[in-house]
Amino acid sequence: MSNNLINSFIIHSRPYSETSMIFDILTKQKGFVSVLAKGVKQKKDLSILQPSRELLLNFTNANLPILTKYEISDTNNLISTKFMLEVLYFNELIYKFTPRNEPCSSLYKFYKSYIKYIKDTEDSSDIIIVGFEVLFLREIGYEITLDHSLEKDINPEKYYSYNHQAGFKEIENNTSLDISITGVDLLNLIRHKFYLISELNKVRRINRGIINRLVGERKIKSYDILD
Amino acid sequence: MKESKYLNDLIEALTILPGVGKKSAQRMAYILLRMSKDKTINLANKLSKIITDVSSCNICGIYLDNEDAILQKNSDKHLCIGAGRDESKICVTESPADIYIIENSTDYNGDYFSLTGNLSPLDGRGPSEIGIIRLEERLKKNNISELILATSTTVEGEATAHYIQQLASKHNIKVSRIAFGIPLNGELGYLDSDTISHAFNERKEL
Repeated sequence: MSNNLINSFIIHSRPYSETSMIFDILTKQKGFVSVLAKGVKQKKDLSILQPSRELLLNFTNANLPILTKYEISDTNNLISTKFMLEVLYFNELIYKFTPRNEPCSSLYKFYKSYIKYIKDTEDSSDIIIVGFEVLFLREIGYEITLDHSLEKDINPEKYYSYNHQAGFKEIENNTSLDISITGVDLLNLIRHKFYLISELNKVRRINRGIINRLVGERKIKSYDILD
Repeated sequence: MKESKYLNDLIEALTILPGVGKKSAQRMAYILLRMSKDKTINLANKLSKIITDVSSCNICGIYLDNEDAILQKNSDKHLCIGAGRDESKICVTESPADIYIIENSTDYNGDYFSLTGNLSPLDGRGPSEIGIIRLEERLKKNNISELILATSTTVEGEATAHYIQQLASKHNIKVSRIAFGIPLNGELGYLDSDTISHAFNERKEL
């Protein structure tokens, strides 16, 4: 058993027998793994084992590793309760899209920085959600792309709709059945200036279409909550 | 050695109870076998009765005998709470068991609503699964002045509280959250930093 403490975030937890729990955790060094925390429900400091805060964990190397030590990485990193619905959604995306037991230090770095941003920001829920969706999709290899055109070809005056095969494509007018956004919003989207997007609800619908397509039959349950 | 399949099945069945492992289940099963048949049959009947004759109140969610649940269904008034209670206040809990705990520990004189859990998308629990849609119906119909949220302090419990708060604000209903922090007779030295931090942030003027 190693004594190294591993930087981790709890993504999901579920009870295991009367006193134990299984935690699904995103770690910096070992990727997305499950660990068994024996007898943890009886521990006084159980409250530190919660999602949305960075923890330092030690666990064994078994098939189902056993949690042997846990502590808070930074005592001052609790997210406001008003963003807990968003955290549940982000954790569902992580849970459903991240392969198990594969190193994912870039995703970990992104998640950590995003949690810090949520803690400090006064941005709206829409901005926070759109930002996470776009950056998360990029992290897992599904960056929102443009049709064959380049960024410099985007006309702020025109409208663009999203096609799953080709990416964003200019349309003649915005009477199409597809959701379309303005060139200005598209530029802000690809430049990741989410706070400047005027029609965030449309971008959220486009992102949701992409995510639903990727997740397939496994539904994203959080959409029932965020609607 | 030959074993009784029925006895083993009972032992297995008993292990679904909280705090009952295989050894405890074995002990219970042997005690049941040694007991007088009347007592064992009485217990079996009681277990059977809670499946067939108990259901939930369609207004607050507490457990009632079927006949009372039907009476409630056909009544305009909320029959579960006694007369003289303030029906404009509703305390929202995650389970009927929490209602009994609050009722037995406080002098709260309002009405209740029990959800069937908390929001947890990864466990397949959204607003309709835990009864929030039913709660909203109640908020629309009744003249509610205050919702008291008594959900747990886990991320899921907080998310549930926040979701209900957003819902209540659409109906202009005041929302409060039960306090949490340092327990009575608690010493700071024995508490974790989160609890102290929460208690500190939620301090009140004296």
